[in-house]
Amino acid sequence: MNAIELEVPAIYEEDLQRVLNKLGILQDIIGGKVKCFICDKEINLSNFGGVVKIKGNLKVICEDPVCIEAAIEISEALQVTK
Amino acid sequence: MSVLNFFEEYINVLISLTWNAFGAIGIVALFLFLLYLFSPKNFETIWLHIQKLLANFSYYHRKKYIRNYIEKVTERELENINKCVNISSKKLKIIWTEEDVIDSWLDKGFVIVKMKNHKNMHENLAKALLAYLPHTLPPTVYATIRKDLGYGISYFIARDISKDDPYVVAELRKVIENKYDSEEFKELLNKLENVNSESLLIRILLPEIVEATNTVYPNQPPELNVEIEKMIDMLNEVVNGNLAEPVLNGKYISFAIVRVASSEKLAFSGIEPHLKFTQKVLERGVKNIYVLAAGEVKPKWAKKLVERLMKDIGLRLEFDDSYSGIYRGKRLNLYCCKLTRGVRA
Repeated sequence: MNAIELEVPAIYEEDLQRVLNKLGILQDIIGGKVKCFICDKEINLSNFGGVVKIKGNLKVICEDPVCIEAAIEISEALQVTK
Repeated sequence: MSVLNFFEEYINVLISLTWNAFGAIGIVALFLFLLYLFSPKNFETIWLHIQKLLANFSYYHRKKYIRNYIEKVTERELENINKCVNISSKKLKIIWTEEDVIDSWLDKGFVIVKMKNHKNMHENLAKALLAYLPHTLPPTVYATIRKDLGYGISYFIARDISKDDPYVVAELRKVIENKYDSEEFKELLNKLENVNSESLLIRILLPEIVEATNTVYPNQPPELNVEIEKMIDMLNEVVNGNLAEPVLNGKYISFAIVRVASSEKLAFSGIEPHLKFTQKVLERGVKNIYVLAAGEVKPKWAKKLVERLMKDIGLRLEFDDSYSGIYRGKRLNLYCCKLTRGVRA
């Protein structure tokens, strides 16, 4: 059976600041202005779990696995409806 | 000179030539090369350890190690599971997104997770498995059975992939209990946990579910969920030692389990009672037979029984697996095989 790949894009923590700067949210995160879009917890560089674009808007998730899983579920549902 | 002697002499000459030309480094390289040729899995393990060591010194090796560790661990454990049932052909691939490519991955709708350094591999593996969770079973299973059942089973597959890493287990459990927050679901998880403790989840439960869903797809008969729940209850009782001759003969799921008897019973009456039991359940219309055995001696009897079932009754062997696992709280040699009706049976 041919293996199909399930791609899991990831940011390595040493690249995090550069990537967040590129996305234009580094200063907001450092300034405590960003909240997890699932649980509403304040995001900083150490509890940053991931990022996703939903309907064109950038959403940040904390590192709680419940929030990461919820974000994955939402993104997969949106990809199906696209 | 035998072939073995010739081979030994050849290796000796190769070692002395390598030692003379390259010294100790050459010997290590030769060892790795031979390992790569004759035992690729062990080579992979050693190579991962080397990469872990190098990860302490460079950013490039840290990223390489994290990616390789997650990909190899998941691939290897899936291979083990796929020996019994083809659950997933999806190979997990970690893609490092840096500032130049992040936008394109976000535009594709992916969630991009943060991975910590190589000293936090439990956390990294848990994050990768969160993404893998909805893909552990074949799409026909998710499309056919109740969502909580599918998700509960996926959780145990992900646990198996992580080799029951306590951090991964706790994180994934938190996720699924949050998703289906009910007493019934917790009870279902407890039963599945019990079934999985003797490795029957991937060796009996899943093969039956995959076979049944392949048959009914694209329909979603509600009776299938009822039969799956009955099967989970039955396997739970088998693990608890409360069922001597387990048989489930439903519309979609139909199998019986033959647990090889104690050595005393076998010495007294041989394998004939097992043959008679199998014949009886096949006459009742049962489709599949699983033979289970635990310990040093019983797996040998089980293999004899399987030979007779194939020769005398005409059953066809789908898979057989000898492995080390937990049986009644002790780690023992275990044997499990699946037989189906062949041409004659």
